[in-house]
Amino acid sequence: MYAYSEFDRAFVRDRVEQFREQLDRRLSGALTEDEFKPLRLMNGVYLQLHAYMLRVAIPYGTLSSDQMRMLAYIADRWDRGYGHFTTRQNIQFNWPRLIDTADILSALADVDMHAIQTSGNTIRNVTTDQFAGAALDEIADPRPYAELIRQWSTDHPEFQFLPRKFKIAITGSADDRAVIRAHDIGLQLIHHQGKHAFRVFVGGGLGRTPVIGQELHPALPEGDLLPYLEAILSVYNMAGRRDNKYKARIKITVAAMGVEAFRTKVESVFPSIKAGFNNQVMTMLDGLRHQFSPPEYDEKSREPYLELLDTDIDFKIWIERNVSPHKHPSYASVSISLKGHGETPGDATSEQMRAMADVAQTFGHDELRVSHEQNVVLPHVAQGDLPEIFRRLQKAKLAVANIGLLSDIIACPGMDYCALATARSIPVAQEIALRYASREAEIGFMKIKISGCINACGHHHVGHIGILGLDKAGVENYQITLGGSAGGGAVDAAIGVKMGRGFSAEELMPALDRLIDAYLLLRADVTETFAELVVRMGTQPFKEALYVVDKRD
Amino acid sequence: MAGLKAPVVITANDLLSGEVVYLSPLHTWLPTLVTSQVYQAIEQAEAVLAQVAIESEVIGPYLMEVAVLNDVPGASILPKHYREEFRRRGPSNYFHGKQEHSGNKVVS
Amino acid sequence: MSSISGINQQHLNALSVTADRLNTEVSGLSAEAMLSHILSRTLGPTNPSVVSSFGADSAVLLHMMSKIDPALPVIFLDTGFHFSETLRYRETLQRHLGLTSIRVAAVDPLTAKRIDSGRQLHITSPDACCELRKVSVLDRYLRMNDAWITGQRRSQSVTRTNIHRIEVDRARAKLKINPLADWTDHDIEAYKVANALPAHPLAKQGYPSIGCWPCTTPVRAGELARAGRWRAEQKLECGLHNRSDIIATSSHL
Repeated sequence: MYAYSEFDRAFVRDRVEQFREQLDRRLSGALTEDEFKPLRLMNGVYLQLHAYMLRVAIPYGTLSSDQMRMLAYIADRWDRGYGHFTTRQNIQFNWPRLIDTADILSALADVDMHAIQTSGNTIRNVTTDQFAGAALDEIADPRPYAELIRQWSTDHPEFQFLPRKFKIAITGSADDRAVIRAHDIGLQLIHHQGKHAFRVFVGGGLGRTPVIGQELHPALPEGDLLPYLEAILSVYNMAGRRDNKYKARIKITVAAMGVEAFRTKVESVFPSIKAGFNNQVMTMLDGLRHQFSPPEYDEKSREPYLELLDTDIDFKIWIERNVSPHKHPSYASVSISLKGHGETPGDATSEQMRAMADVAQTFGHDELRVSHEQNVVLPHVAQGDLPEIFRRLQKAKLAVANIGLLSDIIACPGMDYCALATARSIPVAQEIALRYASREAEIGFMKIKISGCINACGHHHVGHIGILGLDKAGVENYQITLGGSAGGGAVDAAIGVKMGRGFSAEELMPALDRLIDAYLLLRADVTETFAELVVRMGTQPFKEALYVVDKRD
Repeated sequence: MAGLKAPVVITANDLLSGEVVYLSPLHTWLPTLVTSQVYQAIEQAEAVLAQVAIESEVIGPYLMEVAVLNDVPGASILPKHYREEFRRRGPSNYFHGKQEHSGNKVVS
Repeated sequence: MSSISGINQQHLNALSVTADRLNTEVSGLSAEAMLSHILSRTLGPTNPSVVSSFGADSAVLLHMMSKIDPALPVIFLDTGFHFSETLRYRETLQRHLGLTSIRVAAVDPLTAKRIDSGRQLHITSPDACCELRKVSVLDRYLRMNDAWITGQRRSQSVTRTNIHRIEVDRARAKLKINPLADWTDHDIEAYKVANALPAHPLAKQGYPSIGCWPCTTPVRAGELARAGRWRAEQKLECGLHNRSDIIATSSHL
């Protein structure tokens, strides 16, 4: 994985000291809150409902075991013994005291981590496939490109004060596990004329006005990546609205201008920007690639794995649900579910973090990934080690075999924590997981995504079942959307359609029951997923199931 | 503030801890709603708000609607809106925040 | 693909010798008596397994075996595409015959996901699907055995007209025992009736030969028993049997 250079380390250290100084001046009263607020936001320190929140950047979701152990230490020393993994592959701490934040940032700097640019109108964490570098179906590991973009965008003088925040995602496979079509810029690695190139999508986004990104370039040569991104950003920087926060994202700009006109503008500024880059991109990439080389594969026997499959049914189920094939024929990738039934989705205790770090160090080539679905992945493990890994994860309550099932829910923190929320999302997630625990195997592949407000941090627009929590006359009210998809796999990226009036917390579970029952009744066979059924039959049958009350009841 | 109806209290977040606090009759910031100063007149509340807005021990003070139950001993003060109820008592999923101090976990 | 590395001609010659000897010993014996002879540990191969599909005619061999040794291992290849009726029938026979060692053999999930992540292989390449879910799986589950016992019959298919009761499975370097090799369809039905064996639920519904549900259809009047298997393809065998290079023994029945 990427190793900090001395320059990087110095940069982060300087920022910590700078923040410590700013913090001191705030505490002494020399800085007002209005003056301090933008400064703390630039260092990932938010104010939430009950406390401050610190959002730590985990570039493209990649962590070492040392870094994971430091997160556990921070959780224990300065927080309530746990952390929350987010839908952008970051981690949040919900209870830091302001006075401790400089010390926390310093501790993070000790392991080459920071909280810079996780907020504000800047380019945010570049996210990618949690199986990058291991996935069987990838053209190439997307992370060198993600790192390239990270370096280019960090503290880029021109892009510190964009009209609005900017999110970039990149996938190395046609099967998009990074939801690139719902990002401001989405990049899909492809082969083109024997070389690597990118399909570039622009103007995707969720939130108030969800949009699926449109193709801006079908095959951008990899050497043109940074200048082309810079061309897009500079057109956006000029044309994006600054008068209205809710109309400031690039998706609005592209929609207003039309993608053709936007493309024309980008193409017009591109040549001079490219000249300025002077072909550096390929050189930089070459320098980066060796930091992302595959691990030294351990050619151990697969026997322990094959044998345990025959004798331990729990192990077999865990393999079927949570373990994915790997490029290397005797390796695998393990998804650690942070979705215990009845637990808060994406939360891990410090003890669990240490358990994950230990397993990664002993069996996982010291590498972990955070997925945007709020789970953690060990990308490189030998199949022969799977039995021991399973045992250790079981001990730490990290072996729930529900990846891709109904209880593998994505949920934002919602009104239990977030100052922007209009309703709670966590209790809904907990209740759903418990309610369907005994049926979820039968139901099969299902992505439920829950947002506690229209900002859609829970990605509800692209959930197979999306749930949006709103305030209706002073009572929490939940709207259901269907037909959403994050893309990749059998169903293309799509924004879900609102079904009708929302449901109160009491009405919501029976409404979901009706949806699930309709699915089980209408599906062609057990292999037709909920998402596929909605594509085939449309949302009408489900609308009826939700709102037409059977008079025979 | 348009649309706000008395009675109200003044609430904010503590600068150091971020904890939810309420302004008391003695103009101190306390973590419990029941000890807060209730204003029956919006203009009076707004005047006090303008004064405390420049204080440095809290951030983001604002007015919050409440209901006061007079016939309960110790006069219970309850938030009108459910968001303020969550601020008052703490999160639903863990025994953290105010619930830790009070010793009462409230789950809905 | 089953590799024959490590299998040398000497070993195969030794197997041929054993096969010849056994054939002489069982010459003229009925299927039951032959099986009994084979399964007596001092005389036959030391470590055989029965391989059964729990299909339309499987009950015959299993019944014969259960009368001699109900604890003999029976390998069932669970492809993940079986009719639910087959899985239920397996349990029915297990109870009815008192079988105590049914081993369910399946391809490991990671290999299946690697080679057939979309679970479409049975459509795009049935041969590859059989190889993945049956043939390669059997090799692993037979590795501790020196012989395997099947219910194959010459009369089942044009591809089986030359099988013998005792053969050398060259590709696997094991003995292959087919006690019912010379039984006719009529012999099979008579045995079932005589022993009141429970029938496979689908047999009465026009399925004289039962494999996986995507590749098995009912058979029409006048068609051969296996005509409903891989009907759309020119495929009659999954590869379990005909991949082996059979050495016919010199004296056979």
